[in-house]
Amino acid sequence: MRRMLQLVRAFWANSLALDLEYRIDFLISAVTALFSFGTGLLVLQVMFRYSQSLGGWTFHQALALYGIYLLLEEFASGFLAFNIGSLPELIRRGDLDFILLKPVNSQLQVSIRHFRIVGLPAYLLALGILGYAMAAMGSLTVANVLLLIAFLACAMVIIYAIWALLHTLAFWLVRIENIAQIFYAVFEVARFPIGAFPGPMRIIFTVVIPITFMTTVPASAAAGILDWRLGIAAPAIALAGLWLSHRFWQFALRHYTSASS
Amino acid sequence: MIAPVLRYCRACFRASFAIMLEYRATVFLWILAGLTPLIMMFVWRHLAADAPLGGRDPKAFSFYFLTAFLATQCCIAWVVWNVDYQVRNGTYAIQLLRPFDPWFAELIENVSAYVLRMPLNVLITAAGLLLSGGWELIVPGRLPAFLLALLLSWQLMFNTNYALALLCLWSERAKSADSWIYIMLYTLGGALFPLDFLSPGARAVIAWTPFPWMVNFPVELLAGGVPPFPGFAMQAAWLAVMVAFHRILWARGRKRFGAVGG
Repeated sequence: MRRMLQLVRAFWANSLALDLEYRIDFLISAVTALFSFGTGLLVLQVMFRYSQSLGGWTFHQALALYGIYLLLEEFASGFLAFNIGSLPELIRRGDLDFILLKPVNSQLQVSIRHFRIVGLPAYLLALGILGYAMAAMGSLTVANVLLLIAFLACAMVIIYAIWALLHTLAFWLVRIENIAQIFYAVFEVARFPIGAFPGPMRIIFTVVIPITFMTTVPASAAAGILDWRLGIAAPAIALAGLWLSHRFWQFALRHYTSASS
Repeated sequence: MIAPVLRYCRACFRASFAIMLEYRATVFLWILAGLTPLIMMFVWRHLAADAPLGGRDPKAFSFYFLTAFLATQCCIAWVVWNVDYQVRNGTYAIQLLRPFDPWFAELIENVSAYVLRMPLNVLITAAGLLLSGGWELIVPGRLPAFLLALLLSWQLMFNTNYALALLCLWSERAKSADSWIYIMLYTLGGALFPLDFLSPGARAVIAWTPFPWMVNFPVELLAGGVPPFPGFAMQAAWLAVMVAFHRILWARGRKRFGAVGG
């Protein structure tokens, strides 16, 4: 475990040095984050101008959910995309071999290699929105924050597992750099509480694709309106997803024939 | 003069269509990435399930967002990515050696992606309109004008994208401006909510940007909600601005360009 932490520190110090070379990217990241926040806020405001509630949620509850959405959005496009998302490229160029040779779990290495500090403005903005919304709802209590953190962790693990499963397909299909688009397309649904969708979609996005557990569950924990059945299911799905992604990775490795020589 | 250009375009089309066919999975992923208006459709329909919202019932929302989906799909161009990739790869120098403006090659590539993508887009839209009853809002007499408006939307976004792509000759950061343009297309264009839901003041400001004319205008046109002419004039004016802009950039950037790789 300690060796792992050392490894993570070495990896991330390396990415930090790399990121600081591109300082203007901070500005771009900040502007992009503000941009997408602004448009999302506009959509919510327009909706609440015409309707009292969104799937039974108040404006501030929906805003807290949107903060979580932005956080996870950045987690996917600023963290996962540079790590597990680069797997197809690693395979195609044969760089995966260097990773497999090292005496550390290969899935872990591919998954946590880079930490992009340029995403920081986006994370801070998302947390700011979340904090503001919770304060406005009066739900900013220690218990709610702890639950929020726990369910955010579950959401991140679930999202990671989906990315890992999708990208591990690259061992067979190789050219799938854009497969993350499948995730982003479905993830759009997570902008809104699941109750904002008609019944059949609600079931699909809870049982078949676990969108509910990405934003609705953490946000309802933040708002203090958690449905305990979903609360119990979240860690179970997260663990199952992680296990599945690990098994699939091992299965894929057995089929791997190097691209380099 | 015209014949060689046509022959060149035909050759380009054959080549890029073959490439698109190979990457058809990517082409379809782009449709998937553009499904946002349809997700918004479900949310708005559900909001209006009990009582009409802002004068719209679920049927009207279906019509609005399905047509907006088609309009945004007409606006997809990835010139910025192509040019950026070619500049860094060194292959852009090859484009410059050809006796034709690279604009043609990009246009043709865009068209070939269209040929592959549009049948599915039209099918999705048509099926949605039939199933939801949204087709009842179509004013049949407006169909030709609607198609012309979509054509202009496409050219407007393509040329905007092309101008941005040429900015890549100065700075590779121009690439991130591309995603901002798409965020604005969806929001200010009215693919996330009907634009008439905004306050009149906000609408008046947005009307000076090109975005509402690319998405909202064709949609309202088909529903018979707006007269054709101010809209077509705005589309044409913005198109002229964008073409003039990328002609100036091309004249300057070409001199500035130093080939990389070979």
